[in-house]
Amino acid sequence: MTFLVVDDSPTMRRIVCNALREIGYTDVVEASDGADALEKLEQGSIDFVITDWNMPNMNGLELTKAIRSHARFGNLPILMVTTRGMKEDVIAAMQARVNNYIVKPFTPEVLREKINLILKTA
Amino acid sequence: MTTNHIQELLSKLNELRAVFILGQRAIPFIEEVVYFLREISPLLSEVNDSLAESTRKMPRASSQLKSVTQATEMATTEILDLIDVVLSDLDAFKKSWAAAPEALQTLQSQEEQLWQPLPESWNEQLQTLLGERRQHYATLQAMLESQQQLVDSLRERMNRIMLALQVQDITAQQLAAVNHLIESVRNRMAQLIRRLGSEVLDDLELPRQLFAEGTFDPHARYDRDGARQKQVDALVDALQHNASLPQDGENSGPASQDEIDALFNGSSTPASQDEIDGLFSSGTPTSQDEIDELFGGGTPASQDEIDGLFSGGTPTSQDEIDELFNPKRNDSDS
Repeated sequence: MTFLVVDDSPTMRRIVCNALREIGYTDVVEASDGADALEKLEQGSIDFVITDWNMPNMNGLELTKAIRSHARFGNLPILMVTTRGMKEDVIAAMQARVNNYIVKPFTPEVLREKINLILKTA
Repeated sequence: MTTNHIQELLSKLNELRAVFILGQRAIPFIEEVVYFLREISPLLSEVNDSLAESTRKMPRASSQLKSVTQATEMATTEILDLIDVVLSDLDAFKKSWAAAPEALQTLQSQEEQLWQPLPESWNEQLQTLLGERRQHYATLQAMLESQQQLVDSLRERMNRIMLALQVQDITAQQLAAVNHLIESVRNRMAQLIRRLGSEVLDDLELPRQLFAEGTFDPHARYDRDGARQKQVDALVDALQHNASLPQDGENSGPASQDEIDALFNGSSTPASQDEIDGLFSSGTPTSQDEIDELFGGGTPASQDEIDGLFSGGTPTSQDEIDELFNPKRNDSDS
């Protein structure tokens, strides 16, 4: 399974990638913002998107909407991993149809739990 | 000079008198205003200088915050690199020792097989030696297990360190929010200073946006107790199952743009006419009634009052005039 990790912070991308490795997912592609992520989606076969919210060019919410409106990869599982934990943020993300939501700082256990939950219901 | 002329003259005199009285009333107030302006002028100049100085320092503060973010990012990257190296070494170590327990067990088993054919009658020394060797094998086995556990524990801790470095991303966002706040305040202050008409600030350029809005979360915080995740989980669950949304109490955080704007509302704009009027306590200028009151009688002299000046009140009649000139004629007629 190939994951696309989208975050403008290189630190966070490394942390998420490492956490994925720790829970057994080694095939990871990285993108620095929403626009970059869309390019990566067009290029390769991505099975799962993990995205941050606050990013330049195209944020995570816009990326989610763009993915959902796309004919080819509109049904990809999307997990939002962000510092934003306000009620309205979660509601907005769910309305944009993310599959689940993690607030930073996260643990690999939570990451594993959410991925499994998404894959189980997908 | 007719009566009308006199009336007009009196009216003008009354008006003139009113002007003088008003002037007398206003003079102390005007003096106070002049004194106040004289007093406040250096103070305003000082405030202006102070604002200009603070405003000039803000880009530096903003730049320093950016440097802090960059420095922590560099340090974090170095730490992450080292963690990767350590994890890689641990993996290599674990891999190189992975076969050791099994090899030890094989060795122990083969030795057991070697010893088994030996007769019991063989001397006790060999039996004791065998017992000691068994103990050594057991110790080695325990050491290998402990080593494995230690490597696993080290790995786990290195991963925890890596996860703790999420703090860099979170603090970077917090700093970005503070920076944004500084830039907003600086913008407002620069506008305020320009309104005050300071020429000193002509060289002030608008700050460049070091952290674009939308690229950071002003409410970001490093909270590791998992309470926020639980709240989010409850919310996600409710939204996925169309249940009623749970209540939360999160509304704190750095000041938003609206809050910043609110700080400046009512003070950044020049005083309105009403506010200026308000400064003069009674508000409205002296009314005509007040001026009239100053003149005691209230209204300017009426025609009757003017007539009254001519004592008899009504103009002298023709009969009275005729009588003045012909007093004796009437007597002779009788």
